[in-house]
Amino acid sequence: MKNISKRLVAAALLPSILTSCSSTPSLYSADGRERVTVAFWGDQLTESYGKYLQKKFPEVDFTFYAATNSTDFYRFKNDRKDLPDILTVRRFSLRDVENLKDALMDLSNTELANMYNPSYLHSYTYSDGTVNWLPVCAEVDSIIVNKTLLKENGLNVPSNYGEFKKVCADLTELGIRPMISNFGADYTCMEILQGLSASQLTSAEGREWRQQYESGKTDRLSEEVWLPVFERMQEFIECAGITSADMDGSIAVFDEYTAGRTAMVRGTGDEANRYRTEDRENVLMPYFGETENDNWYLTYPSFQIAASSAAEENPERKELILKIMTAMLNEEGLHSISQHQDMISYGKNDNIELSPALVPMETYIDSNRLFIRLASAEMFSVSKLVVQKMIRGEYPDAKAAFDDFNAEMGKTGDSDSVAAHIDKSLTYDFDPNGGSPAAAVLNTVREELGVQLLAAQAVNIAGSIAEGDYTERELQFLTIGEHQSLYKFDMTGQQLYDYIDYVLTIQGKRGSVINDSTLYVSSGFEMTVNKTDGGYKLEKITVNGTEPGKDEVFSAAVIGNGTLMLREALERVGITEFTSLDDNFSQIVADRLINGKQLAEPTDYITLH
Amino acid sequence: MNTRKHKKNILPAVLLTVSCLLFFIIGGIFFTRYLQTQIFEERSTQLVEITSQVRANLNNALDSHWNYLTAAVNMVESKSFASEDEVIEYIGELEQILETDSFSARIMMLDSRGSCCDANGQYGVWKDIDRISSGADRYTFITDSYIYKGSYWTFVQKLRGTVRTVDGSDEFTHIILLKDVNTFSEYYSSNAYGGENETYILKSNGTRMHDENNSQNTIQVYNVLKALEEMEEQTIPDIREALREKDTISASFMLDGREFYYCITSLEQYGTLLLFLIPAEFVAPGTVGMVGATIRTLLILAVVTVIMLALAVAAVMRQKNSVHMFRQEQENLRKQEEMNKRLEESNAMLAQSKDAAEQAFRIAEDANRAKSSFLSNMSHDIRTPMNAIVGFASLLSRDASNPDKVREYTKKITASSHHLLGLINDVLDINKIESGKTVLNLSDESIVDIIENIDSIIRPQMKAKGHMFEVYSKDIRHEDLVMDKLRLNQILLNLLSNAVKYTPDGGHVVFTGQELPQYAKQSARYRFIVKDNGYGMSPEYIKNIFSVFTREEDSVTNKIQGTGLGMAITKNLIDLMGGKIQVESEKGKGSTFTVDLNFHISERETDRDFWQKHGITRILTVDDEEVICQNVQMAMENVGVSADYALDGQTALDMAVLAEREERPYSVILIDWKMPGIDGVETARRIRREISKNIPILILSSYDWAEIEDESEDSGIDAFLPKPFFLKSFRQRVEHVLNRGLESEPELEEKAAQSVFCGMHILVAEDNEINSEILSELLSMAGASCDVYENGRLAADAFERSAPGKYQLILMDVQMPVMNGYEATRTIRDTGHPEARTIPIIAMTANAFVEDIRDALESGMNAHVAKPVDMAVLEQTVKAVLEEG
Repeated sequence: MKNISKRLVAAALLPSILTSCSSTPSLYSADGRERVTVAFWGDQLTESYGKYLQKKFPEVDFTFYAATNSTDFYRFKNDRKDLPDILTVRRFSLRDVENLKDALMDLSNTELANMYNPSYLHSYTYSDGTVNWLPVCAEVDSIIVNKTLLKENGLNVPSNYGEFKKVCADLTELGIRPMISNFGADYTCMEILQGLSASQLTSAEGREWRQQYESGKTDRLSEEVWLPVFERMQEFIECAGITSADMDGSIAVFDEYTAGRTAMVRGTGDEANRYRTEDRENVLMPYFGETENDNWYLTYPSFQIAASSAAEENPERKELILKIMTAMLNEEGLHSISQHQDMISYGKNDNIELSPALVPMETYIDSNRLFIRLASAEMFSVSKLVVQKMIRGEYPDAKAAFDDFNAEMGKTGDSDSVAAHIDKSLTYDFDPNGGSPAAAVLNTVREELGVQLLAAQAVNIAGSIAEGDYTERELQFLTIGEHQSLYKFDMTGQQLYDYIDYVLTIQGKRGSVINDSTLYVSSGFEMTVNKTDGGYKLEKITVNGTEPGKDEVFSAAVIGNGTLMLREALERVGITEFTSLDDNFSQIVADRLINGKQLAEPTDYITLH
Repeated sequence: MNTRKHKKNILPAVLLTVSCLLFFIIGGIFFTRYLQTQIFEERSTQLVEITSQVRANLNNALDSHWNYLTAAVNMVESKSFASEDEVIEYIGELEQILETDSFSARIMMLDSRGSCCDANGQYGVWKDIDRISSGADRYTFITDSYIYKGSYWTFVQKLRGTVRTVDGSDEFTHIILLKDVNTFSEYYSSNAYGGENETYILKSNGTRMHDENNSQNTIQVYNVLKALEEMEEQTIPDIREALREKDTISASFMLDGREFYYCITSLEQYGTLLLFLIPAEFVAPGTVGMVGATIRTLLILAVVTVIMLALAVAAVMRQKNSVHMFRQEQENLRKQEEMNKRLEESNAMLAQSKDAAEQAFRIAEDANRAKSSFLSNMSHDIRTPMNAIVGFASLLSRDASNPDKVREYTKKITASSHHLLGLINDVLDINKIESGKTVLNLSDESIVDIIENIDSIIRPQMKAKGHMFEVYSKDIRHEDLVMDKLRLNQILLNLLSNAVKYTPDGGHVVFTGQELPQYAKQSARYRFIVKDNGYGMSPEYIKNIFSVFTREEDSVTNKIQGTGLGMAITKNLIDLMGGKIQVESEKGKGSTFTVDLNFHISERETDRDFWQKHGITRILTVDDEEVICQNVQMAMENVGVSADYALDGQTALDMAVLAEREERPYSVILIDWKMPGIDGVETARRIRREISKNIPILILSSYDWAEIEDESEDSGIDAFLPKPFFLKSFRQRVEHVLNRGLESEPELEEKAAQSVFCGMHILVAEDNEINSEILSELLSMAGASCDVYENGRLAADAFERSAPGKYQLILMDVQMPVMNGYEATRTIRDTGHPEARTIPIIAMTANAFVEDIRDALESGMNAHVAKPVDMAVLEQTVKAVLEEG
């Protein structure tokens, strides 16, 4: 009997042993739960969606990570047979993802697609009826106006472009900056360029050009449609007081706005509410046109969701993936990411509630004047390039800007030449008695920084790493997550313990631990962590196997969200002096590989009970 | 030893039993598979037939909505607008002109910003703006409208040139027709399966066109075709590929243990697919039930036979115990022989059963189509006239010596017979239409001939009841049209016959044929209106007027004979032609039936040169009704003849005199008979007196020529032209007048009065003795003699042997023993007889469908007359054949 049991156990474990030896992550975790990988377009979703999904599907061992917000990242992953099971992306254009069609699940014949009004799926449907991507809620992104500030200065909220220019001139005279935005970000450049001319881009000619462009029939801007767009942008830069300083990230945009030094800022519905106080009434106004009938709000799907076609090989797994996606798209799922307010749902029978800051939108929703941004990858990159040049005054006139934009369209700008080679593959798999290969990346960064200790959350470090050649662009996709801050400082043994203890439990700061895959990775020290009913609790820390002295001083660094997480956590443990490094950790890793070195070896860094 | 022998003896019996069992099992499997294949084919064929019909309906409906939109585009493009308000106001007018309310449609216009407006005002940016921005001129799709709530078929046309308001505030780029999906669905829904079928409208890529909000639908996903392709036991793995080869496909699949049939058809022009889905049990349920019963019967037979065999074996075993082995073996042998015989009998029985089953299968197929209520109605309606016929026939034998009674009974028997014949024709017709087998037999026809023909049939009936009957034509621009002449006749005659019947004596019936403004160059729109001041109908009855066997029950109309099928046939035929019928009626005040039909304009060339050839460039029309004068003027101007008109006789006389004085006399003068002041005859008389030139004068009247004839003596009138005015009739009459002199009038009249049969010798092929006897008598009464042969072979031989000129005509029955009428005709046409190819052959048969007429003509016959033979019809047909020939 005993022998039979042993054989059965061996038979049951054999597949998992075999898969763990292969280059792809195994489908089951050590505790027998089915593994599902979900890539989020931004790490804020880990705290909202991630938490919700893990609670909803306790029988699933989720691996969450923050993807670089670009469909190019998924193309890179697909080339290395490493697509996550569920993909999300915010920047989206159907023409950018056509070559992923076969790698993704066709959702057109699932109940999932049936949750949508067919008219919303029109722009997501290929000519053969295939639907890979589904949109999740519309986000609104226009001009936030400090109504209180205008009122105090005897000004009214503008209602058209003429009034907007007048308000800008009056504010300038009063010494208040009219409008501010971070023109260092590509999306700001692109959205303001398009938003200011929404009525032009939605004219009959504008619509026809857009369909030509989106269907790949043209890759050039039409002069009839687009030249006025650049003329309007030129005028805006002058009257709104935009300067080169708005591009280098040295100005904290919302600090300026909340301090009353500027009256208007580009922002989302969420931001309009976030920065609203009793003393400051914010209203989210549309992009202004010649008359009120030419005003438009700029919108875009909050993000898109898709699934890898790999799950189609196993009907039960496919069913599970579809179940998880359904939970992400149903009312409860949407509520978990938006509190169901100020997001326009694409689903049938879903209603929205508008917060006071967004009330002016009501008539625009009724008259459907919601402009959906044209968001192909090149639109982002070329808009940034050209708008920044316009701000720097590099063009004699708008026509030159238009011509330059056209010249840049279609150029990838990426070199195909091999920049580096990685000799050894590392398959992402979290082991409670050791951790994950993300440690290899963190060890590499620590070595390059020359510090003793380094910590960061796994969702923002790296997934599987494939052996092979890499171009410079591909090296950017080796690591995951969007731009993260990197702080360097000295800390004592006690501060190290307190810091890790704090980040394991804090919620809502873009660094929350919600399951094993979101635990922190350490380099230069080891952690022993207990899993509790409520979450995770630090038990012990060792440096090279021994517990550090409370007052022993170490050179250290941390990677994460500087504004919301790192500063607060460091201050909390008494570290007030730190250096914010300009270098992105991804670039540090890429530079090392380009210089011909390999990644550092992974080390065991965690014991999880 | 004994045991071995015993085993040896029973072995053949066991083998036989096992063989029989195997035979039954294998035979049963094969037979069942055969039946299943037959059932599948029957179901698929039925589905494809219905879907094709629905597809044609939908295509027609889409085309006609495009016609409406094209008309709207033309109207909008020809207008200029001062402001957006004026555009909004004009949309309202446009909706009234096109009567969009009547077909639940709305018109919208789109400006260059993508904002839309309708008759009620502005609505902001149209939700479907992205769907019409690919640069194409036309779009057709379904949308869920946020303005009107609900789903709408959407027809979008880009304006050829942007319509700008004078104040420059707006530029309009598109015009949109929105049609409520619910009202449109009547074109593509079918009640053939008692409402159990589901209809899906899909885009050509298989995705749903709109959100149908039907949670009951079997397939709920967005891409319905993909879902279909992945169903269990689906035999078509790539439906889109299959649709590239065939425009309609049908197959079955399993879903949750239930079998479904589907049929999908492509409307390529509109990038649309139409999918019918129905649970298998509702497709040809009668056939399936019958087959099930057949299989059960066969199983029982098989079991009984096996039991009999087993009993026989048991009997053989018992015989084994007998003392005398030899006798026993003999006995066994005999029993075996007997068993073999029984087996043979069983086999024969099985074969018979199979035949019976197949026959039952066919019968059940037919019976399936018959409706039980239909039978009940039929029984009643047939028995009623039959009762009269049988009753009066017996009275006839009793009162044979009383000539008055004989005449009275004969009249009643004739009336009942005609009613019964009408009923049978209608029943066959409605059955055929409802089974979807009716096809339109299209040919180039003249609308003038149709209306004249109808006039000639109906006018005597009107006269008999003392009705005033007026026929009007309005705005006729196209006389030669492509149509099914018989079916259009049937529709109009049904309506007019009802007007005759359901109007009390001395009533007033008006029949108007009007051509409506064209929507498309190749298509003419006609409206036929039949208006009477008769009994009228109640609103409740109007709701069911187009259902079979419906007649209004009241004390007056109950006395009027009718089958209750006429309006159902009429409605079905109009639907088949893609037209519509409307009824307005008020009890005691009368009824108005309006039929709208579209016809393709014939490419047959009208004789435009006729007028120029005869030097007719200018005519004068005289009628106190100005609209008639204008009709004539419009028709004549179309053929390059200028037409002046006068509204009274004196003015006409003055105009004619002046024209002659100015040496540009009128070529023809057309005068209405009844006019206030000087009437038509007197006007003609005075014109003849004042004008020296002998120009043709024609009298135009809605009265019979016979009524005018006496009065018009010496008036100088050359010919009579019945109202309404048609160019073709006018041309024929003028041609006749111009060519007169070749034959004198009295000769012509005499010829016309004489029966066409007079002096003819006719070859008749007819197998039914009674029919041939009646025909001989009728022909003899008309002055003809005939030779009758009882089958096609004898008739063909008789003709071949006959001397040239012996026979002037052949009347040919179709269904005859030895050789049928079609074959006999082909044989006659192929003989070496000098008149083989020219002698007129007319089919006389009870097979009276359009296909039968077509078969007759294809076999070489000249015409077709339905039985029972009506001599007037036969005479008219023979006359037409002789005139043609």
